[in-house]
Amino acid sequence: MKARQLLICATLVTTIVSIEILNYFAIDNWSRWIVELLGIALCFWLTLRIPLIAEPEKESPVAQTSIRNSQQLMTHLATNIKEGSAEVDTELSRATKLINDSTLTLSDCFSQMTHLVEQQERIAREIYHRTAESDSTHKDNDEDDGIHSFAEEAGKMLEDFIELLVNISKQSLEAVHYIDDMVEQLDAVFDLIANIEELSGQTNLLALNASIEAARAGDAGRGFAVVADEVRSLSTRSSKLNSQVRDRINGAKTAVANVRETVGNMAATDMNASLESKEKVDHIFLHISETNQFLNNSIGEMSVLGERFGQAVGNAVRSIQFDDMVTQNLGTAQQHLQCMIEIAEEITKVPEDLNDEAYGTIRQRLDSLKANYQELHRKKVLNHSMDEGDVELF
Amino acid sequence: MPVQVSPMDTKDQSIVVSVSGRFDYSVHKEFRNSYIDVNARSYRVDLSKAEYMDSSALGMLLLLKEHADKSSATINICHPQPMVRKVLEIANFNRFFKIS
Repeated sequence: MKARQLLICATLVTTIVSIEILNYFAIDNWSRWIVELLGIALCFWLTLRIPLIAEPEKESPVAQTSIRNSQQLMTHLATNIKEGSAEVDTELSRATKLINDSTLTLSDCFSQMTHLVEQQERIAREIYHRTAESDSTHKDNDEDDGIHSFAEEAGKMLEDFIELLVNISKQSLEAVHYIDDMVEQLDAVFDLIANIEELSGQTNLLALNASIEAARAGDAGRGFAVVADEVRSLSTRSSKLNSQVRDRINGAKTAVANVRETVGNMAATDMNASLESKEKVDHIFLHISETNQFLNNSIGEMSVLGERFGQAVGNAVRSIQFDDMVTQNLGTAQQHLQCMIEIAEEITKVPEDLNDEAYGTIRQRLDSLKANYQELHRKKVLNHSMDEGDVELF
Repeated sequence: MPVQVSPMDTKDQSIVVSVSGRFDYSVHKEFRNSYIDVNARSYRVDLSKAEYMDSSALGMLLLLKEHADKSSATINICHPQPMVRKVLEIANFNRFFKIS
């Protein structure tokens, strides 16, 4: 380039100098124009000649060394690219395999999860139906009645117990009333005994008077005195018997009083314990009904949650299909890499003496590789746009 | 007296038996005497002053009912206090008596 500039400058200087010389010799305007045109023409000619003049400079030993160095560097670079690409290729293959294996395992896990969730949901639904059934049909079904009817049974037993208690009270009171009536009868017997005692006293007095009268009558009254004595002794015996009867009846009265007290105790039972029991049973009823409600609600919720979980797992399983896309992407990347390796291969094949023919051949092969590469890219773009369209289907 | 009985109402032939304090075994004789010689059309048992009631009181009421049933008379238990009302309820007495 410097040589060309120097030549142009030299031509311009020559032209100006020749114009000045012509001016100096006062040559007419025409001659001056001709000289100037000649100078310009010389300039053009020199400019056109420059590549030919410069050409020998490129052929210089320095330039040759530079080209050789560049070529070696390029070959070196291409080799490096090839080696690196091979590494990347191996890694890509490994990644593809890993992803495939992992997605397979994940798929298995998810399908197992779906299965388990289905089982769980089935159990929850069964429990829900069971509790709902036992709530509505416990009256018809004796075998499967559960806690609810147990409490009902307990309530009924308590009611029966209270009824029994009241009946016992009633009957005991009735017995007490009869005993009172009996005691009244016994009291009447005492009155009768008193009457008999009075009669016996009077008989005794009468017998005494009779024996006095018999003594006064002397011998004639002797036989009568014996009878009077007998009557007196009879009255005394009767009096003794009377007091024995009184004692016996007194004993009976004491016994009856004891019976009355015992039966009275049977009649009187405090109702507070029963009241407390009744309250407890009512409380249990309330608790059971609350628990049942809570259980039903919870199982319902569990069932809904199970369904949602199943849906989520289903979504996850469908999402794992990204595996196909990633494998495809990695495959494309490997194909791109293969292209690069081939290009690098071409670069290493460039001969030291690169004439036009060799250059053309290499250029042609590079163009065809580029076309391959562009075709890959076009396919990829097409796939991407299709996948994006398919996203809605997931 | 824990048990008091009103004279027979000549218009509707009813008597009112009022129990005050503890309605238990200790008053059974008095309670029985209040109605046993009466032949009324309706009996009212006023429990507004009764503070306590045991099972013998329930038995007494049942015996009164037996007495009343002989002449198809009615029994009305009036104004029981909450505690007494509870006892009547757990014994299911509303099946046999009108409780007001």
